[in-house]
Amino acid sequence: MSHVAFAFVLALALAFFSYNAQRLVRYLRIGNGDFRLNDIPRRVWNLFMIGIAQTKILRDPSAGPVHALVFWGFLVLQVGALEIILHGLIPGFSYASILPAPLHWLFLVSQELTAGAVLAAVAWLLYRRIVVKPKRLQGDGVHSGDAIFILSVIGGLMVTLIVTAAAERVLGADIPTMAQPLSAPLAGLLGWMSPGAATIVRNTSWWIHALLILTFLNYLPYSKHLHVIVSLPNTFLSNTSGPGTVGAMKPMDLEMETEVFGAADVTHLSWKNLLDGYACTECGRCTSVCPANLTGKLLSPRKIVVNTRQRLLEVAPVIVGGDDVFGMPFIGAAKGDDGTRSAVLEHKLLDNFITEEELWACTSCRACVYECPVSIDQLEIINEMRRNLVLTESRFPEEILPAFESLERNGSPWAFQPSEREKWAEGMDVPTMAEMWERGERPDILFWVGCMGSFDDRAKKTTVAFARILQAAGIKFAILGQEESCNGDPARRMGNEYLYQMLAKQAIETLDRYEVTTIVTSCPHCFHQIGNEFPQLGGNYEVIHHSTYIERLLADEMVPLKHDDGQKLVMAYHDSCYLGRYNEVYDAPREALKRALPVVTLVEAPRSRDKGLCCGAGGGRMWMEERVGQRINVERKQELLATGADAVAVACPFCMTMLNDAGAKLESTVPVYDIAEVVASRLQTGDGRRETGG
Amino acid sequence: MPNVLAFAEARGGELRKVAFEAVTAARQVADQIGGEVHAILVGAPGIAAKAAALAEYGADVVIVSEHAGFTHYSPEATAALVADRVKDGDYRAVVFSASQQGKDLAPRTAAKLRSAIATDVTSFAVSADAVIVTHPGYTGKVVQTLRLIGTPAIFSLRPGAITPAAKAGAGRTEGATLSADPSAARVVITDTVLGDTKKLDLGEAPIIISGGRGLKAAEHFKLVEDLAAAFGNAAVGATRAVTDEGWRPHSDQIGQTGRLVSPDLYVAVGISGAIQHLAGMRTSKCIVAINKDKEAPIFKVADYGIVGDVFDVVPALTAAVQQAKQSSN
Repeated sequence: MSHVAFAFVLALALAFFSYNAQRLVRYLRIGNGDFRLNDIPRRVWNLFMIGIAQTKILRDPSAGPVHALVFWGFLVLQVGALEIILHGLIPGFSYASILPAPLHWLFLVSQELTAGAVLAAVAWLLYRRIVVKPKRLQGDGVHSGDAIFILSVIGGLMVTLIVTAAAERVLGADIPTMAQPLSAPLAGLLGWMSPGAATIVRNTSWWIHALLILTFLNYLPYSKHLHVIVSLPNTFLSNTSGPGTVGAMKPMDLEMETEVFGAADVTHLSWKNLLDGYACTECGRCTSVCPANLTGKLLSPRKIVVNTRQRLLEVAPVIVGGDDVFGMPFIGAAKGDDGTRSAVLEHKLLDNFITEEELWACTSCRACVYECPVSIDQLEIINEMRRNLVLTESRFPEEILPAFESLERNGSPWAFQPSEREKWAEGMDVPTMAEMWERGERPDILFWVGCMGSFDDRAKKTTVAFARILQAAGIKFAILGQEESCNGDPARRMGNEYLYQMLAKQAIETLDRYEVTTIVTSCPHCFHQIGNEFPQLGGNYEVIHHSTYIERLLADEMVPLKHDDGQKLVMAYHDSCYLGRYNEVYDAPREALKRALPVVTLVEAPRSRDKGLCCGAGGGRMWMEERVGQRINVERKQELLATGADAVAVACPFCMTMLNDAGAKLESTVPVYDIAEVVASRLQTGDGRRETGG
Repeated sequence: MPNVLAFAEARGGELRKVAFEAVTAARQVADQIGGEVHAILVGAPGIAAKAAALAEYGADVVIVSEHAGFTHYSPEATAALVADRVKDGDYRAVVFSASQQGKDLAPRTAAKLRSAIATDVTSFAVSADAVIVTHPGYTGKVVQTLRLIGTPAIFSLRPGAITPAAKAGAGRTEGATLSADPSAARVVITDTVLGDTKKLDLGEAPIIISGGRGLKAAEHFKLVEDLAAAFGNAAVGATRAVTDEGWRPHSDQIGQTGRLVSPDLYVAVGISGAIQHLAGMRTSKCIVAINKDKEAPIFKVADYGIVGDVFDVVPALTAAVQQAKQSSN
């Protein structure tokens, strides 16, 4: 009789779950298409590393191991859950009847040990939620009650698992004590029970366990714990750790017939952006590393994702139609839900959920994307919404207008004449591409100087230093000189795709005209843009950042360095986001420093390498005001100064200017050098740092 | 014999400097072709008293139209008045100023007459078959030379492009028939509200004294203000570092993300010259930099550089400017 009852309950639970699952899938379809089944091996790799092996989760040393334990325990316990289901359906079913005894005992041990560990983990996590309350689990309307409920359910599952087994033992199950390390001692305590009482305990406990499993399953679509189901597929389908070029912005067809460019609402995002909303469990790792959020700005990457999900669940039921008798109150529409169809359709993700101010606060540093344990791409949503603001709505901070205008007129974000581009090279005998071609020669590499390197007085010293290293190493190189023009990266990051494509196509035309194949640049933004995003527009070149190039030259002993010990220096290297998280160049600049200064001691700031804190200039922030909260560059500079370093090393002209500015504000005398300057200062021909004036 | 018509702009019952520039320009053209200069003067009752002043700059005839509806600029009625006068007379050219008002009036008049027009010109000359003018484009990066074919040729002159030159004309005054009632026009300007008149707008000030972090504290901006006061026609600007510190309001910020300025004289006090600041002021006609760090990038764009402590140099400079002003008065 109870088998029939269980079959009925199970069918009901599965039907209800399927109903909700198909609804969630249908909602995703209001988003745009995005092909995510390329490069399967890489996706499988990500699934195993980030998903199964929990590498991202483990980056948090306190919650990480505990979560990993619960997750792996969850996997192990699935085997047991299957037995429970089968046992409910088939009278008398047990793995004991199909497995040889030792294997069955092994299974039992695995279940009980895991159950014990998970129970301890759950206790710790509950303690953390209720008593410790870490900062990252606060704010953005995080559903803490939801977490406490789900942890309690998991705890209940573990307790009933053990109690059921103990009652079985009391009833005479013939299993060695060592196979049941938890339920055997418990059975000992329950030994006084009559068979009748033990049967009641066993049956009740079994039913509670079975019902908790089904409750858990059906509760998921109503809570942020939907991530239990979605996070693995989300990781598999994500591009945040490859496949493809990490950090490249989505290609955009401007010829496309559309009324809307970019995204103002969830219908303009891709289905994958929407799936990110389902996958988010509001852990706040993204927000806890966001430079804007850390310094008091309104932006919270977690809120961006949560808002996307809220808006999806508000508007999608109206768009796809059908009844919504079983609404999704926990993670569904959190605001403006007056229930009417027209009110819902008048809402947008932009303005009603996410404000302009949040979007412009982003430095595009990718720390949020990098940190997310379930491979959510917060930045893509922000970038798409910025595109909408600029291309469709023409809404942007007025102070970036001069940058847009200069890019358009002068091919540089600042209103400098192209004729001034090669001034740094006066008297240095650096040939332009045009001059080389005239002589019928071809260079080995093109040195792409970039706008900062061409026009900013401080960055020009880096440019000169790098050119001197190339000359000392006997590299045959050329610059574009007046023919160089901004590659459009700032425009693209600020949402002005139209201007970007204009500039990028022009740059590609110039590069192709000179049949350029290999480009070296001292600017990580140019490096990323030309190397990783130009291929979208048909520009394919090998692009090397100067830190990597210098490192190679030093490793090959091609640079004639001084033989004395040099100045002893304690240096802190500051990672550029576009070099580090975007392109995983972490070691080359550090190695170059060590090779150039054999006595250099590198110290690391607490946030370095893939955890590096942005200088505050990325994402077009260089051309915007920073009026709210602490300045990001000051926060970063303080951290670097706290290492006690004699000097700060950078490999990006934007980081250079931001950290110099912060130094002036903090009245610090600790100098900031580009790695090229450090190496050039060790050249046998003289001190690169001092001979660099214009 | 064809004559030349000049529009003499008045505001608040007073002739503006650009009115004399327009009359002077018209005089030059008229002298070249041997015609008379006619000036149109439009304003509230009482404006006729100003006609004599135009004669001193070479107007042979001053056509005056007084009407209460001309207290403020009346776009439609003024354009109609000028166009009718041109139709009635024989004019080789009509000269406006490319002032705020002229930028509106000149194209309106040209449209009514279906004449060739060039705006914002910096020089002009008459050839056998055309009026030839130059017009700077792309914020001065190119200069176009334009030939205006047909009669009359209309152009508006960039304010300050020429210096008004006294040259007596006959100065006969004529009344003009109103072709349209200004108070019945579709567009009527009812009031003009002036901004803070005590403070010169950064965009218009011929001289800007700007302070940077080198001033070290908000109260030291007094030095900059004193120097500006000594010049009289100078505005005070600041760098981003200064406005971020709250020493000056954000509206004073000069640079890429603040105001983009191009005054005749820019004095940079304690400013190192970060690219973001240079982008906003490097097109200034003359740049003077005062900084104690001789390596500061600001010196690369400066026409005159003073390496020294701003707390010594600026007061000395202020005293020198005051003395120069006194001796010239």
